[in-house]
Amino acid sequence: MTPRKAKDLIGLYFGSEAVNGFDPLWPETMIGVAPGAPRDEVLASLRVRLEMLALHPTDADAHLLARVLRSIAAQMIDGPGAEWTQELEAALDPAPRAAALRTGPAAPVAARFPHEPIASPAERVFRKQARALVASAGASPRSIAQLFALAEADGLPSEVVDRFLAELVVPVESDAGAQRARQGAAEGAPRGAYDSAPRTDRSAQRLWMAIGAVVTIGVVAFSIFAIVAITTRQNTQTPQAVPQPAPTNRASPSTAPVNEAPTPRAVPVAEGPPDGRIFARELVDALRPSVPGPERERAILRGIETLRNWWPRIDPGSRVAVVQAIAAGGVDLSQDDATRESFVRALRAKPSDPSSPAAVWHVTATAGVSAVLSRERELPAVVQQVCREVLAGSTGGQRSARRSGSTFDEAAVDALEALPALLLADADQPSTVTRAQADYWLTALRSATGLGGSADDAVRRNDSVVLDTVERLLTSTRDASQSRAVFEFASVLLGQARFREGDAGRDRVLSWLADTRLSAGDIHLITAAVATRSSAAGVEATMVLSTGATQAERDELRARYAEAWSRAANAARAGSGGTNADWFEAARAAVGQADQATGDLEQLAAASALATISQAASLRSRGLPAPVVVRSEPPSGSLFVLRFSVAGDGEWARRFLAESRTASARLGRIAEFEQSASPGPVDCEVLAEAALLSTGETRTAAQRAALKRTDHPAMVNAVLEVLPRVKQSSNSGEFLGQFTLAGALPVSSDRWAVHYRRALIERLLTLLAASNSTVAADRAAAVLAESWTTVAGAASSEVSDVDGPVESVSAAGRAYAALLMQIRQQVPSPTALIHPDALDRARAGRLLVAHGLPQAFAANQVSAVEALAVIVAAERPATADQCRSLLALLSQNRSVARSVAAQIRATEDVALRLWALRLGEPL
Amino acid sequence: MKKQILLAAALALLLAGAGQPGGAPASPLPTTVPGLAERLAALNPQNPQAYFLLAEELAAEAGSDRPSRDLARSLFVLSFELYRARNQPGDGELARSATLGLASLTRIEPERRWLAAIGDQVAPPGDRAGSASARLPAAVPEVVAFHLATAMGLARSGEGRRAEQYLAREGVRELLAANQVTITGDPAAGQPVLKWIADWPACPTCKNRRVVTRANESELCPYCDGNPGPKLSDSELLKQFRAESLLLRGVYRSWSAQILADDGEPLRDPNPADLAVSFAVDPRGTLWRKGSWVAQ
Repeated sequence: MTPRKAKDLIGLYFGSEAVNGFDPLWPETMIGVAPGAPRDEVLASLRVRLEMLALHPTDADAHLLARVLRSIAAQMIDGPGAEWTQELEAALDPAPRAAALRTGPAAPVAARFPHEPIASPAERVFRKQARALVASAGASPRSIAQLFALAEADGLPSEVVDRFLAELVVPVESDAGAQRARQGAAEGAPRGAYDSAPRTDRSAQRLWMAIGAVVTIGVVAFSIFAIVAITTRQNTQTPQAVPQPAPTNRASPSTAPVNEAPTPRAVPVAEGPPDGRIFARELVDALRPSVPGPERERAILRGIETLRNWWPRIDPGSRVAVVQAIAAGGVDLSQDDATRESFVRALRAKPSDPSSPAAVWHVTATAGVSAVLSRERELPAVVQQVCREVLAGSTGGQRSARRSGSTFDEAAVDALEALPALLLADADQPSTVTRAQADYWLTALRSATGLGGSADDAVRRNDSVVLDTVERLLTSTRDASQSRAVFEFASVLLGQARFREGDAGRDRVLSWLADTRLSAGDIHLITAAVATRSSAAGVEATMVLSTGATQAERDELRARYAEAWSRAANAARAGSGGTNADWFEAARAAVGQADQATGDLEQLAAASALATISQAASLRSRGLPAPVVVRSEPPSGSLFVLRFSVAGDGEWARRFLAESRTASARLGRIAEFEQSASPGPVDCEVLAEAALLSTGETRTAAQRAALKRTDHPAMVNAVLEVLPRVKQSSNSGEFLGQFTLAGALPVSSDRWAVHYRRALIERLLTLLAASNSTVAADRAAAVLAESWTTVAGAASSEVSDVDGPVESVSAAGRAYAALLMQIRQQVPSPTALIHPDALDRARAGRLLVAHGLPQAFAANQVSAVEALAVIVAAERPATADQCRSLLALLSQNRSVARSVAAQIRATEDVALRLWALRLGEPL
Repeated sequence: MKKQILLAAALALLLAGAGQPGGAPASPLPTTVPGLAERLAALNPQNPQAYFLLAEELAAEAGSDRPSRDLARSLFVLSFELYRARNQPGDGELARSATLGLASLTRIEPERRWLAAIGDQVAPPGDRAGSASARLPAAVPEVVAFHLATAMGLARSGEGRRAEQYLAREGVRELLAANQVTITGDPAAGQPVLKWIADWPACPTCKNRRVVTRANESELCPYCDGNPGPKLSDSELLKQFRAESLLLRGVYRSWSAQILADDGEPLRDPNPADLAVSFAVDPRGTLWRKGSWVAQ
């Protein structure tokens, strides 16, 4: 069911609180649980909801919802594709609180609102085939028709198909799957459905499209399904309930043969905006396989025409169903020569008046249908070619790299961008016509980009297309703005764009002012629209370039715009003389101190100090309050402490080897060893030999004693020295696994010795990095992690020293990703300091070379700083040269740095200087 | 290998050749490829492929012959630079092939990764994301690295005879030779591991039993003090552990442990412009005349 329908039914049967908890991105919330909820919780919540549905035994919607909820629950518990079983049904024991909802005799909910089990082997076989069909061909009208035919061939009643369709929801991952997806996301793998980031708008859209297509098409099928006769249903539902089925001659569900389809109504060409759902249903009805071919042909052609005339006024869900019906029907028509010809003619049909406002919707609808149609695998090659030609013609061969162009909406937007050149061919057309064209254009744009995300997201998408279209229009020919039609059209569009802080509009205008492809006349158009038609802050009515302006005047105006917008944006952060005086003071002091850092620990401490100041700048640049608190761990000691030699070392070893002939004597010596404060290397080696090379009680005791010294470097080194003489055995493997905490390998593994030797070396070096130094270095990593998390735009929480080394890498990576996204959205690539693709390429190369966590962090860190430089230069064009110089300095300092710690410090230094530029002035 | 060492070496070589146009005087020509002198003389910068093909042939025949490997490297670098300068369709992929050729001549894993990353930088768009590294076979089989690490450990603990057995296994001695700088941190140092093995086949007094008994009195071995093997300083010991860590590709969850393990090795940016300098090759010297590379 569509998200709207689901929401309506949830509100109807479960109340407003349940509606508030419903999230269309997560079908699990229909049951009232969170994704990944445990079995008991799922069943408990399902039980409650079923009991509430049981209060409406005659409602077909209630039964539909019950089936859907059971299906979701089954897949949450037993994995994707799982079906509701008798075992699960039996697990629905009456819950104490359900008693409050009972209106009849106390009984298990299963008894009062039963689930019909699938008893028939034939039906099981059918369902298996049906799932395979839907998995490969999608839930399209054609595949639905094939399901009915399949059921008929197997001698199964149509309600078998109805049941299957009603339970067809997008698979829900099990806990294990969710866990893997989260792990995969943490490791940088492609995100799964259950990662911490929300699903994209597009993935959610596809998710619901699949269900929407099924149930929209299955409305007729569903109308026959009922446990209790539908005819007793009262007309008490809200208008959003399942629409009344079309009049039909069908008998009762159990006896109606499949081929007695309802008489399809002719699909008229709507004279006004049609009701989307009725249009979709009627079209689907008219395209059923049982409908004679000529009638189907007429239905499709009329459907195409109606779509062309009204598509922006049809609700998105219905539009999807209509387009898919047309696509499926088009494939059918294409199989026959005669009907294929008429279908192709219809596709190729151009608007009768290319300059009419209606042509906007006509051309974009054709592009959208062609895009969807071209994805049909069974479409003959000749029709594929026609689709390609239509698409190429609609975009003029140019498509935005931001869109795949494979959906109706995306293809429509691509066509919208290219359309003005066609529309505005008559330069002298009346203004009323141009304004009408612009209105149609904007209506189509809003309809095509409105789905997904918040309203602000939709407007942002709109702005992007508007700006791209205006740019394309004005650069299509020299002095395009000389055409009155172009001038008017572009002005209307620009009047709709936003120019607030953070919007793409500001950056684009600034880049246009420097763009040599645009004439003074073009800039006059742009600045007039921004100054007089938009609500851009800080822009006065006088900030309009005259058509005869010189280059100097143009540059001056650009500077005024940049100044005006900087002033407007940075009023609260007006450089060192304003409210950021404390920040600049702290930054200058920190930079001075950092320059004096020498050793690795000092460098890392200096880097973390600089990073905390950058963190404050990041918050302040977003208008958030942020005190400057410099955090860094003062370094202590050296990084390397190796104190193997111990006075008296060897005496215990002598006594053990020379004077302990009996087992009890050796056990006594081992007990002495356990009491010694800090055994030396010789003693440790003798004990290690006993632990790994002896037998019986001596071995057991020696192993026990050794396991008490796993944090003693001499003991670890001793085991390392003995290792080449150790035979692979389960006992020695178990001991080594416990000693190194590296886990045990099977005795037969040919990597046994490598695994433990590596683990011992890792443990030894980790211990040798003396504890106080470990704290200092890892604390610095934790501070860096917190700082870069803030830059990434997330709320920063304290990172522990243990997690710091790993978290720092991912935090810097996230910051880079966030900055890169900002660049792609707001900075036109031709004017960027560094092209985003080059940024990405450089980062990929660094990560390939990086070995170990500090280097991996350094790779992400420097890439993020480069991205920051691009943003600062775009926001403040006057600083572009300074940004360039800082990047050159960074490259130089990093190339001569003797250690990764020095590189990290140098990079934080440049990051801080970039933040200073962003806040208003250089350090 | 520290970048500083590489750059210093490169600078020294370039300065040494400053008196001659285009490059340093070449070593005596290797004899692994017949007609080499003529083929070198025939090289023309308009045809980068000839440089590449000759490099491949030399690399294939070089074995452990140092002059052949050095010349092959120079040719790979020159072909790389020439392809980049020419910048015709397909040259990016060919330049990447040159980096793969260079990678095949080194067993040092960080160097190989760096070369692979440079190859990716110059490869055509859409064909990157580590694809060069995916083509790179493992520099050293894990078992060979393990045998060397074990041999080093045995040498440290005075078990020279047993260490010899590991050194005798295939590829181990070669790997030891290739990793000398890593093991000692000093390109001018000798081969300490071999010296320890030679000096300490076993303790001559206690035969590594640690304790000797004389007249019913036991004492720690007076020769080895109960601890057979060479007496290493802290820094020598640390270098040994680092070398083993690199051989076994240890990974550390602690920054300080990682910095300790690899001595804070800086991240080396895979910048194509650094390739020639790293290998001490002057990209202007593309003509082979009278035994050395000269500029056009």
